[in-house]
Amino acid sequence: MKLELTVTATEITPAVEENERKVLLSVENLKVEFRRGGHVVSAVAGVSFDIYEGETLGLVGESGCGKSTTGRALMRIEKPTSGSVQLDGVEMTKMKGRQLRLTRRKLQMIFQDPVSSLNPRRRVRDIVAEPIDCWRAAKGKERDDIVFELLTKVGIDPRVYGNRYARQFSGGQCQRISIARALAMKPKMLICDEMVSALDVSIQAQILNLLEDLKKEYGLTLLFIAHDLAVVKNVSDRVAVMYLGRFCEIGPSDTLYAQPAHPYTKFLLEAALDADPDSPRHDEVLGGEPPSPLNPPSGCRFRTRCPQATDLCASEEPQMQTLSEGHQVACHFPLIPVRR
Amino acid sequence: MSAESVDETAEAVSAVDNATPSKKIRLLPPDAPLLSVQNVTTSFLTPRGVVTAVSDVSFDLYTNEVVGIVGESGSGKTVLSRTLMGLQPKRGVQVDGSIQFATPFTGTADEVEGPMDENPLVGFEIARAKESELRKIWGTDIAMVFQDPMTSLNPVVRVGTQISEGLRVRLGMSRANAKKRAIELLTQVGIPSPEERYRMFPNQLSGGMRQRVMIAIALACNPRLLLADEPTTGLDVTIQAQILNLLEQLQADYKMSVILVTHDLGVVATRTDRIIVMYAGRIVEMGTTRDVFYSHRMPYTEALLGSTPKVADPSHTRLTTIPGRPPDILNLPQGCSFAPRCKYVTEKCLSERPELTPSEATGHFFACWNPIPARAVPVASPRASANEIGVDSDRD
Amino acid sequence: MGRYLVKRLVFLVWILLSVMFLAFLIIHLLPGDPAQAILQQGWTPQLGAALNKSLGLDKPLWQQYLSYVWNMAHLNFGTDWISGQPISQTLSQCLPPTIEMVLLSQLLALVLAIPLATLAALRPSGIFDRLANMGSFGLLSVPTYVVITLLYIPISEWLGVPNSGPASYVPFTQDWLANIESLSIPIIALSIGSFVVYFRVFRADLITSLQDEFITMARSKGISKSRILFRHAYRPSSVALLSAIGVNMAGLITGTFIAESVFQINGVGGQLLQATQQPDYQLIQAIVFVTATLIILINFAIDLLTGYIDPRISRD
Ligand SMILES: Nc1ncnc2c1ncn2[C@@H]1O[C@H](COP(=O)(O)OP(=O)(O)OP(=O)(O)O)[C@@H](O)[C@H]1O
Ligand SMILES: Nc1ncnc2c1ncn2[C@@H]1O[C@H](COP(=O)(O)OP(=O)(O)OP(=O)(O)O)[C@@H](O)[C@H]1O
Ligand code: SF4
Ligand code: SF4
Ligand SMILES: [Mg+2]
Ligand SMILES: [Mg+2]
Repeated sequence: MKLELTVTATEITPAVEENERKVLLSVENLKVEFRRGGHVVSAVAGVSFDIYEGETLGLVGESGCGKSTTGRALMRIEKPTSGSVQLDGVEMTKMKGRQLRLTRRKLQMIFQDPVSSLNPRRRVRDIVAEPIDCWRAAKGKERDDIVFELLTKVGIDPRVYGNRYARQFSGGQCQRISIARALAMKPKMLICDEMVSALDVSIQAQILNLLEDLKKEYGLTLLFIAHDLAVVKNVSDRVAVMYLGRFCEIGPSDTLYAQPAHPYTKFLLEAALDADPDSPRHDEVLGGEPPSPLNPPSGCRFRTRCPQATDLCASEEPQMQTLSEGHQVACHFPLIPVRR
Repeated sequence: MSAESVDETAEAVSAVDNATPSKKIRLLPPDAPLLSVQNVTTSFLTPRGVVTAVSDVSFDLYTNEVVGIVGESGSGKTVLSRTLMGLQPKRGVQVDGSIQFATPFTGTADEVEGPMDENPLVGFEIARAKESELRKIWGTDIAMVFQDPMTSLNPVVRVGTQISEGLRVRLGMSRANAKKRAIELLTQVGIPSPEERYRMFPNQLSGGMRQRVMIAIALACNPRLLLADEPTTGLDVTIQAQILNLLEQLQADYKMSVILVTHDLGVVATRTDRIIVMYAGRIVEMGTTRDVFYSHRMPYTEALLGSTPKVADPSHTRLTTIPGRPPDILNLPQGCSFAPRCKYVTEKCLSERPELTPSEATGHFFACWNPIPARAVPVASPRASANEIGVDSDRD
Repeated sequence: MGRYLVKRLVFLVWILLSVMFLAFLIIHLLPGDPAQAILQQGWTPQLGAALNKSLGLDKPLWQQYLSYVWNMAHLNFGTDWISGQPISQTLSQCLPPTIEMVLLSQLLALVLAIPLATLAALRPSGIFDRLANMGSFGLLSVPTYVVITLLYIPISEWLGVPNSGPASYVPFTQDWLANIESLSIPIIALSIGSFVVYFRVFRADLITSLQDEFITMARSKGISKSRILFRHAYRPSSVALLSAIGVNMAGLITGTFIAESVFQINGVGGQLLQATQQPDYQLIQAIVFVTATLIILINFAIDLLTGYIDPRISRD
């Protein structure tokens, strides 16, 4: 039986074709709140964004700003408190039961800890086939063929390693197996949560390159969550910067990194260290730490650490405004002028 | 250090060094390195066999110098830094070679072999010292910032007590003075409301704060050498920048030498004078920071740099990758450890291990049979050259 | 800390009420009629019914339970149905020897276990550690009553103490030396089981603690070995030991009952046995209440101590 893993031409929208890009995932005012000992932690406090078919959206921000929670809410691992998430124009937040599970197949998530996200007592073949078996999508030879192809694609020789147990693999290999498993149900979109953060640079580079290749081959759309600014820039078409549950800025990677408009983005980029002795050094580093999400500041959430905060920032929450095509910022006093 | 403890130290050294009947102490030359590491090998005796985590490491470290040790996970960075500190347990661990730490000599001229110098120094042999001797230099002369502040701080002892403990026990400060100094240290490392934090337990602090507390503990007794093992790994970039700036400033203020251990080339690029690159427990390249970045000779260094994504590069820049993964130190290949992953590999690499060989630039060494040709190193921007102290490169 | 203690206290009071409830249920399901026990030969159905009525035994069970809780909460123990003695008086006679045995045996066990465990942990799988480990394992596999019976004669001879009989118990207030002497054998016997548990728990925890990274960090400050042990390793290692003491309490009560009967000491165990045979509801209920309260108070004290020793536990 011929295997149909490559997506048919109609489904592929080649990366960024301005104007006629199709929105795959549309998020509107998404909020996620946790109750903790009588307090409410608003981990995601109203974010809106679109992800276009075939693109990679990077999501960066400091620890605890709500990146993972956003990803988990899209997968409906965490139930959104309010807001809307539309996949291919279909509202997901209200779905239940079988319908939800069916839709969820189109989204797959890959986690940071490659070793513990795989069952150590199962064979690699069976791990990759898990979703296929679960959905009874294929049986017998067809199933084995899919697994064979997937493992080959992620660079694990199925003849040599297929029958080994997950615990016999290194971090990088486990992450390859996770990718193969995520691709088994031909998802439209992958949500990668810190998927290379635990890996060595040499292994990290292998996985990042593999991801780029697979993305092209399968026409995948990616939400790439990480705290490493260089890694995020490398894989993303657009990047969103998050602070304390909200988006500060979103824009095409090269533009955003070259001309950050939000003071927080600027500090974040200046703090990033490049492997280059002549890279510019900035003495003015962002002081302090993010406030607790239990008790976020009024108005602009960044104002307690922002050197250019004014009374306006304390009283009024800045709204997203467009600077240029696809480049938006939520700040009363952006660092580059707003287009009128 | 008290005069008495130096005497004991010197005796301990002379007992080891002087095979001759003369009981006189040999002084170090005034320009001697602060730390001189010769052929250090650290092996663990485990049920699976002898694990040689660090092999034949030699280098010198001078006063006021900042040296970075880089390498991937498992390359032996932590084992090496603990060995240098003398922290390896005596049982189950075999440390060979010599680690000589220059300590001031406070004895009299007639105890000395030859003429007495102006600021006399004696060598303290860390590799063979007993723990009771090491205790006299730990904290006051050589201190360590540990890799994981979560597990390295005692969870049931207040932060303040952990800082003032060294001050009270080692420097003999009174309780009140030690507390005052500890609060001063907390302020110095940038912890807001230090009086309050002084009374807190480690789990009440954020990761960045814990790392600052670790630094405060290490600096408490003004050490001359600070070993920082991944001091910023796992922290956010902004906190990382804060901590690295802090370390740099304290290094200058206290005139310390620093060994900065990390897997992140970004951390060492702008903050070190020299870099040591480790692979599978050995030094594979060593030189000034600029030499290593711009004129590396060893293929592994090149590959490491190539696979590190850079903020300055445009998005979707293809990374050069190293195939395979670091070797299992229990089954190292016979020749060059990097051979199975190296694109320049030749027959010789598989059978013979390359030794560290000097490159054109002074103080630049590499271990490779087929080195990458040396290239011109761009002149440092004024900012970076202000940092360059220690071993002088011939292009200065 | 405050919230943690309130939480623990609420939990412990809940446990106390449950224990009392269970005891109450069991007592009332027990065969035997108290009226018969009191009246003995003079029992007739009418008289029995009248007596039950005057004792409040004809009321519905839930009412009886409530009045039990109510009386106990006011420390109103009532009088013994059979001897007519106030129950508080019976308790004041049988409680001191039992409490003394429990406390002193625990003290002895700890005083031995902590230094020995420390010695063993300083050189794990060294000669001393192996010997101590084997010895403690041997002791662990022998039940307390066997130990007691075996040790009875040798220990009394070794200590030069007369074999205790019912009369030999001397109240503490009268002559403390004679008092301790009179209880020494049961105390030693009782401490053995606890000692083994405490030794093993503390040794294991100390070994783990001593391998922790924060111990290496403390060493790197150049502080002495003893300071590292006492200031840095003991505290994190004592949490499991403390909870072992708490858990051990309940088992210890049974142990004391056995010891009391072997050494014929008029303690709580003996009284409880007598009361059950009668059956004397009032006395049983009072003893259950008092022992349960004591165990719970001790556990509360342990919680307090644990919260102090390990701040992670007392804070959410
Ligand atoms: N299950 C939960 N219950 C309560 N609070 C939670 C829960 N999950 C997350 N949070 C809180 O929500 C906030 C956002 O967490 P999240 O894990 O999304 O951050 P993140 O940006 O992914 O951080 P990191 O970079 O550390 O992974 C944090 O303050 C966190 O403490
Ligand atoms: N106590 C020990 N017994 C046996 N092997 C050990 C021991 N400590 C370390 N090793 C081994 O020595 C090697 C080097 O370990 P080390 O911790 O120095 O690596 P590292 O370079 O610090 O890595 P990382 O970046 O992960 O911290 C590893 O392979 C490790 O398994
Ligand atoms: S809105 Fe105000 S406080 Fe917020 S980032 Fe902009 S200038 Fe700073
Ligand atoms: S010695 Fe050979 S294998 Fe090793 S790094 Fe050099 S060229 Fe590569
Ligand atoms: Mg996360
Ligand atoms: Mg390490």
